[in-house]
Amino acid sequence: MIPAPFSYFAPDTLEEALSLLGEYGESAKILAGGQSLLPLMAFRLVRPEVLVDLGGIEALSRYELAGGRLTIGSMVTHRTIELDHRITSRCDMLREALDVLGHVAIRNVGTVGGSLAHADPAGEWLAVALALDGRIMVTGPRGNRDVAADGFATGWMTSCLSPDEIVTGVRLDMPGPGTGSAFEEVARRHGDFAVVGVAARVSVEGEAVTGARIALAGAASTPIRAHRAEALLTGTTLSGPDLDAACEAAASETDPVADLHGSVEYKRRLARVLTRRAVSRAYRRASAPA
Amino acid sequence: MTRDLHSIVLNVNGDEVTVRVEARQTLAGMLRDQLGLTGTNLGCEHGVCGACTVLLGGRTARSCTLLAVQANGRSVTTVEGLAADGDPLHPVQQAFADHHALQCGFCTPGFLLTTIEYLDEEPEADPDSIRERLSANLCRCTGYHNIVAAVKDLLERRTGR
Amino acid sequence: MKQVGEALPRREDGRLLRGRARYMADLAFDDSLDAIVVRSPFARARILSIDASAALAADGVVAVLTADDLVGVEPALTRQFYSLTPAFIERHQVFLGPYREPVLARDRVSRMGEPVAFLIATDRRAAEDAAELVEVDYEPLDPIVDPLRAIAPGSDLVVSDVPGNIQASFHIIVGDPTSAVEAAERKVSGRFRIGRSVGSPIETRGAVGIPATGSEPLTVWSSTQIPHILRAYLAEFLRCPEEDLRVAAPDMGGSFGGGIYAEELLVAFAARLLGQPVRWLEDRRENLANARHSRDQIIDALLAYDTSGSFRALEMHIVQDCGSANLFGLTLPFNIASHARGQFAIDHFDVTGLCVLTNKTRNTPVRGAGRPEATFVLDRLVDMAATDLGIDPADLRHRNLIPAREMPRDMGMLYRDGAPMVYDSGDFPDQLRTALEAFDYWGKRRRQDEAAGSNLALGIGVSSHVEATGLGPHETARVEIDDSGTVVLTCGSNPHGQSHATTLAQVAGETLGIRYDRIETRFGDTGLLERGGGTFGSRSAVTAGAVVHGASVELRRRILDLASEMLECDPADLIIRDGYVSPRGVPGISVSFAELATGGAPLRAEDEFVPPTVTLGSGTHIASVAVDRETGVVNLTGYVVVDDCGTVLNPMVVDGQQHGGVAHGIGNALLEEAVYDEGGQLLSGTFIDYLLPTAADVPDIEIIHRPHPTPLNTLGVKGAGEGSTASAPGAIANAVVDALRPLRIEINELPITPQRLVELIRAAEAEQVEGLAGN
Repeated sequence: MIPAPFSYFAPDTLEEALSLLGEYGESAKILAGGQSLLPLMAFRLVRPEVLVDLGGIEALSRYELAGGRLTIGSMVTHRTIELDHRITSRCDMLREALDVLGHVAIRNVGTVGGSLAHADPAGEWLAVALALDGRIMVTGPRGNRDVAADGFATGWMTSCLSPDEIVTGVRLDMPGPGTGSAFEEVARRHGDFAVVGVAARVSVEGEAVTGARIALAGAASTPIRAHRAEALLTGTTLSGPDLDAACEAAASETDPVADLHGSVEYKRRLARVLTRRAVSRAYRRASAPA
Repeated sequence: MTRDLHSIVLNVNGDEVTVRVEARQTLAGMLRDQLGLTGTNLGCEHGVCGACTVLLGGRTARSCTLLAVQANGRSVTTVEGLAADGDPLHPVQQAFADHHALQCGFCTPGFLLTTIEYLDEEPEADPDSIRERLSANLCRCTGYHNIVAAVKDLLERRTGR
Repeated sequence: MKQVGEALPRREDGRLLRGRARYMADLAFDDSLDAIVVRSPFARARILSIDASAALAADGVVAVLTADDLVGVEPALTRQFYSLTPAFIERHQVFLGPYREPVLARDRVSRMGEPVAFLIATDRRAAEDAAELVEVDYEPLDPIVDPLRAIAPGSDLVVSDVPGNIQASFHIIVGDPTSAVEAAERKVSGRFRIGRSVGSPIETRGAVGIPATGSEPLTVWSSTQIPHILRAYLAEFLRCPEEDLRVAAPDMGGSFGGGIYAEELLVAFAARLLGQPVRWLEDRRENLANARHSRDQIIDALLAYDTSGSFRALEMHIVQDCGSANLFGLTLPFNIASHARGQFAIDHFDVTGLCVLTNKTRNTPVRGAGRPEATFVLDRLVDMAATDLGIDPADLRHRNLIPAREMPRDMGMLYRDGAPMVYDSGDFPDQLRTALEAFDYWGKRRRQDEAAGSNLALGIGVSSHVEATGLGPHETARVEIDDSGTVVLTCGSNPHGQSHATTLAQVAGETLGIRYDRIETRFGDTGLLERGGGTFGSRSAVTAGAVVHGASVELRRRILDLASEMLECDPADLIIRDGYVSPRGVPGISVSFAELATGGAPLRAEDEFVPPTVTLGSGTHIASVAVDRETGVVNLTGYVVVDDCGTVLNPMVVDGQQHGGVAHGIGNALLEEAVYDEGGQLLSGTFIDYLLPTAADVPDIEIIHRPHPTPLNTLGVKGAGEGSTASAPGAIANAVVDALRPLRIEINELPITPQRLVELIRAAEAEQVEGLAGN
């Protein structure tokens, strides 16, 4: 299993990378960590003529936690974030999502930007970005733009990126005081793609939910937000019937694609069950004294 | 299409090497075919089985899903780098032997390197995480029982329990 | 020095741990070419044309072989792997139809992955690039995927000379099952489905053909379990004498079932044709689609018993999906039949088995080979009966186990080797008692409900199995002392992880009075030993163990005879220690093996062991599980194995085999399934979708040996390699059912995927709600 031949470029700067993309157009593909791309190339399901490796662009390997906002350069590896206690201690959802994102050997190489740009429907990063009001930073020949995570993925493994654009990073709102978060997923084995995963962020004042974000991975052709469920939770104290209604809503907002590991019905059920678990845990965390 | 060749320099098991590789050559392919380091085994070539795990800059990576050119300028440790011929086994290798943690041996290099990274970590790993950590590598022979026992033993020795 | 039975460290480990093993892909030969197989993308199609001209024009391509190029050789495999005796065929009403598997497809393909062309290039990259250029024009046909539809009247045929798509069948009757079923007070029955699975060694297969030179015959290195048998098939294919061929196996990265493969024949043919070594290395996708699969049966079964809980009769009807060709004849369903009664006294027995052809890849016996299937069905029936009778399954089991005093017990049928099937030894009640105690079964039962969480249900399941091991027909070994005084052990059976170089050397070493780690071992090379069997069916410790022992006893006699001449001392008064022979009590006087070896006469003994029939290993497993009622996820929380493999050659090694067997069984129980869609396309074609168990899916496993040596070989050894695979699915299925016992679900299908379990839970809940509404 050897990829079809291609030409390889390792630019040192974003400008160079953009000019290569401009030159080669749709025949070029960006290589980030390669943990999703290289297996597809080995199967020859993807066969770019040109590969532009962003690994040499130092500016993309930085990240910063400042003022409740986490900004991650696209070439930062999953593992780098996972091992930064300042981040994982502030965001349970991120810690829990990273723990089930592949295996360490993948997280050592795979990158945040690569994962986002791949737009896998079961991708943990995009679900987390949806739940943390993420903005995906993009650069291209027409300049820089910020894209809301909600809307970034436009279909099965496709995004709103044009072929000459590059994801440079993502900005996430870290849960603040009075906000709890959680990530729940069912995968067939530890480290496998989620059958369904749920990222939940819940803000609480007193006992009442003042805001909620629920994002689901593996529940549609892209990661999705469960907007109706979020609205149903807001203002409640997470009583049984309120939570039931929200979980039902979340399940009904999904549009799962059946595969070997789950039928449409099973994935809907997981969406309901895991929404309950993630939301409940996030709520408990929000309510717990800091 | 013509072959896109690149010269890369990397440190392999402590030695600096310069290799001319085709762009599509994987790190595993380069190690095996060009450097003759056949201890890195290929089990699936799509990044699942973990047999081809090496250390890249001290951290595990699957050499089947990494291009050799991506490793340019980096340091790589393969199973051959753990103990020189004639030297005693590396403590992790020895623990695997002591616990009968290998049978056919094909997945073993990957498990050794996964274990070495795990033991190197700060803060010290929790023994309850061994199975999840080792789930990165597939073994069809041992049922993992003795691999887990070997790693537990190493972890306990490390922490002096 | 006592060596047999000791947990001596493995001699294999040093080089394996240092990355110095030589697996198939590590072998290098001068001027070697790389081959790739162009395969059918369709399950069933006519081949209208093959155009290799573009591929031939590509860089580095040396040849593209199609069926038309296979001149002067047999174009298909046609000889079945096992032969059956006329008495067996008559007694069990055996029908055996033709077997035919083309080496390269001509005119039509009958499964996805069938080899259509063999492309040879200067290197692997060139081969892969050019393979895409071979243009094959297919006319797709509707495939036959469902075995029940394949045997329905009017079905299309997978191959024209197998009417009804039934390639083989048998019918076993023991006692008077019809009357016994009629007379029995209670019955449970069900239709059970065992998912298709793939052996999945972590090393994929491979083979290299090397042309004959002046001194060396045409040689094939293959990652095969059966070098000598492969040589016989190669000789038939190439139409040459076996002496003109050498087959050898390198280090192997596992192998859990095999057979003979077209690629092994093609590398030899291509090497002979091109005059250069030709290497073929399988990739993982090829392995998952094209290595022989296993399991995949639909079994209708019925257990009849009395209200006292006494088992009366067992009936089974087995439909075995064999895929497109059936090299192994009756093996899989007959293995189910011969293990179907397990450890229980069931006097009346009726089993039919059908081997059905479909447009899927071919089946082979894989680790367990019929035993996990048989054990799962029986375990489920027993627990269903326990529920029906309102008694604990462990109690019901105990009431029906064959007591030790009834050993040996004739089971009233023949085994596949034609010999009467006799349980030769064992103490099943002791095995169950030991397992229950080690597991704290009754204590855990009492605490079961308290320990459960809101979403989690806890369950315990018991399984017991028997395992006929050490199948013949023969195994060969030679033990000799070379000029340097080194003891060299050569055996036909070759290892792929089983530790032959340790355990067989322990047997030889103890007999010869030399440490096992000073013995040189050689396996699996027809160039070294004229005859040999191989490693399959948990046979090596039994057959190779016995023959190494036999040869070593003979060599010891010769050593002592020679030494007695040199030392002028009666052989009975001589002892051997560490490779030196000396008169008892006179350690100062001695003669070394090296001195004896230079004496002139070759110090060598070769032996062949022909086992009278199989020996009976057995085991009892108890598993505990935590079931997430909402997601259907099953986690194993505890596992105990009590095993009887007769004399234990090396407990560390045997434990390792048991651990591996349990994990394989866990895979079959919960994870692994080769899935085809209605078009005959394999959906589980990568390791992303074909799920092997990981360390996180397997619990700690406690193993207890309760050995009862067999009288059937000098060592008392029974096989141990597969048995643990047999009980894991049944133990786990019973534990899951037990966890959900308020719902009274029944698990009849493997693997127990979370989705399937949720469907069962939902259906049971709906039924309960309906029941309540009706009240």
